Amino acid sequence: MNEILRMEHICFSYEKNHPVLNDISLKITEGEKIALLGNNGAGKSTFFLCCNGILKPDSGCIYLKGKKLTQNRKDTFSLHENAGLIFQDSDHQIIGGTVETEISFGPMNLKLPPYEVKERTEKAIAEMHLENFRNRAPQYLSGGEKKRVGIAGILAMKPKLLLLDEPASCLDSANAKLLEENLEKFALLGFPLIISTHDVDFAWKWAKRILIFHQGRLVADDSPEKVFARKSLLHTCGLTQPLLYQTGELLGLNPLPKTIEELSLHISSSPA
Amino acid sequence: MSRHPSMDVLCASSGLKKISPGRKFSFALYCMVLSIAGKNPWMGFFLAALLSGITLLAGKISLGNYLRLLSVPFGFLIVSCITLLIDMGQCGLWHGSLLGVNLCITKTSLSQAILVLGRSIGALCALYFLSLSTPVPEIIGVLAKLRVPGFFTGLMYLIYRCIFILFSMHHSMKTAAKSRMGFRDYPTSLSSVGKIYANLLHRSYSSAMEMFHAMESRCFQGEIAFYDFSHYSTNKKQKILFTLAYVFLFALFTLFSQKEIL
Repeated sequence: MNEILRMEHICFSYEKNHPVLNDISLKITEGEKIALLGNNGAGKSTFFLCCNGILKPDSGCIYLKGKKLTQNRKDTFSLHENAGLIFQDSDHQIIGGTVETEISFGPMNLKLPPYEVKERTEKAIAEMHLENFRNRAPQYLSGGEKKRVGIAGILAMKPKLLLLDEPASCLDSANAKLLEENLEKFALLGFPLIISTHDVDFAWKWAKRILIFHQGRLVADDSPEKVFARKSLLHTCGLTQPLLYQTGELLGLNPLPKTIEELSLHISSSPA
Repeated sequence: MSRHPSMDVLCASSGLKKISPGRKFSFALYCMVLSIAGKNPWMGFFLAALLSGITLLAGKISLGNYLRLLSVPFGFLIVSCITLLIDMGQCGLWHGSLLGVNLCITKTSLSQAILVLGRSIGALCALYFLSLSTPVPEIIGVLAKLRVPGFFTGLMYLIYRCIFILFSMHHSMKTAAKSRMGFRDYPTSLSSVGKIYANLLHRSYSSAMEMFHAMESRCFQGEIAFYDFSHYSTNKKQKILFTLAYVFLFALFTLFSQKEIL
C-alpha cells in the first residue's frame, strides 16, 4: 500500500513544559480505516491540527507521500490541501452564504480555474446528496446537513486523506447512519480515513486499526482485536471494551462478532 | 428564538429574490440618493410609499412583519423629528410652556422636521426594499463586484456568519439560565444577563479562533473568495421596467425640486 502521511517523533506544546503531543510516530497508508481513541484532553484534536498543517510541531518530521515537509508556506499548503480536516463543530467550519458558495471556498483558495471550481463543487454536492440544499443558507440547515456540507467542502479540495474530528457528535441516529454509509463509500474509493471518537463500539465495528492517545502519547497502535484485548491499558485511558467484544468473549466466540448480525449468525449456527 | 421571522428569513422567501441583486442594489441606491438629495420632502414620502408597495405586493412580505421591522427605526426617526420641530421661544405657529420652559413651533422648524422626516423615511424604505429582497451574501457579492476591497467584504461575510453563531449561543445560554431560575426577579435577571454576555464574549473569542483554523485548513490566504453561482436571467421586460422607473423617478425628482416645502 502507498504511504500517504508519515509522522516521526512529533512533539507539540501550547505552553512550555506542557507537551500536548509527545513523541508521536506513525504511518498512514492508502485505504486505511483508523479510529483514534482517547479521553478529553488526550491530544486528539491537536494531532489533527498538526496533520493538517494548522499547528506546526515543535520537533519531529512530517512526510507527505514520501516527501519530507518543511515548515515553509508551500509545504504547509500542501498539507492543508491533502489532509482534509472536518471539524467537530460544523458551525465553525461554514462561512459561505449558501451551501454551494461554501463548498466552493476551498477550491477557490486553491486558485483553480473557474470551470474546475464549479465542476468540483457540483461533484461534491452530488456525492453528499446536497442537491436540494444548494441555495440554502447554512444557518437554516440541521446538524446532519451542516456536517454533510462540511464534508463536501473538504471533498471539493480532493484530499488524499480525510481526518474527521468526532463526526458523529451532535448527530441523531439517522444522520449518524448516513455518515457511516458515506465513510464506507470513501473507504471504498481508497481514501485513508482517521476518525477521532469516544465511541468504542463504533471503533470496533468500523476500524481496521486503532490508535489510542493518552496524555499526549500514542500508547496503542494496532488492530482492534489486539488493542481491545488490553484491558489494563483501556482502563488507564478511561476506555472500556466494546459491548459486542465483551459479548463475544463471554460466549467464547471466535472470531469475535463486529456487528449484531454477525453475533446472531454465530448464535444461530452454533449447536443448541 | 423569536416567534417572529427575522429579516433573513423574510428575505429568503421574498418574491423579488429572483431579480439580479445588482439591479436591486442600484435601484435602492438610486432611490436613496433621490430621497436624500431632494429639497422637497414629498419626494421621500412618494418613494417610501412606492418602495413599501413593491416590498409588500411584489415581495409578498406581510404588512404586519413589515411594520414590525420598520417600527424601531421609525420610532427613532419620530423622536429625532420632534427635537427638530420644537424650538425655544414664544413666537411661531404654536407656543406653550413645559416645566416653566417656553416652547414653540416655527414655520422653519416645521419645514425642517418634515424635510428630515421625508428624506429619512424615503431612504429607510429604500434600505428595507433591498434588505427584504436580497440576502446579505448577495449584497456582499455586489460590493465585491464593485471592487470594494476584499478585506472589507471578507469581514462582512464573517460578521454575518458570526451573528447566527452568537445568536444560537445566546439562545442556549439564556435557556440554560432560565431553566435554573436565573430570571426569577429583577436583580437575578440583571446578574444572569451580565454573566451571559461575559460568557458570550469569551465563547466568541474561542469560536473566532476555531473559525480561523477551519479557514486556514482550506488554504485561506487572507482573502475570502467564493465562486459566483448567480444565474439571474437578463429579462428584457424587467430591463425596460427598471429603465422606465429610473426615468420616471428622475422626472418626479425634478418636478418636486421646483416646489416649496409647505
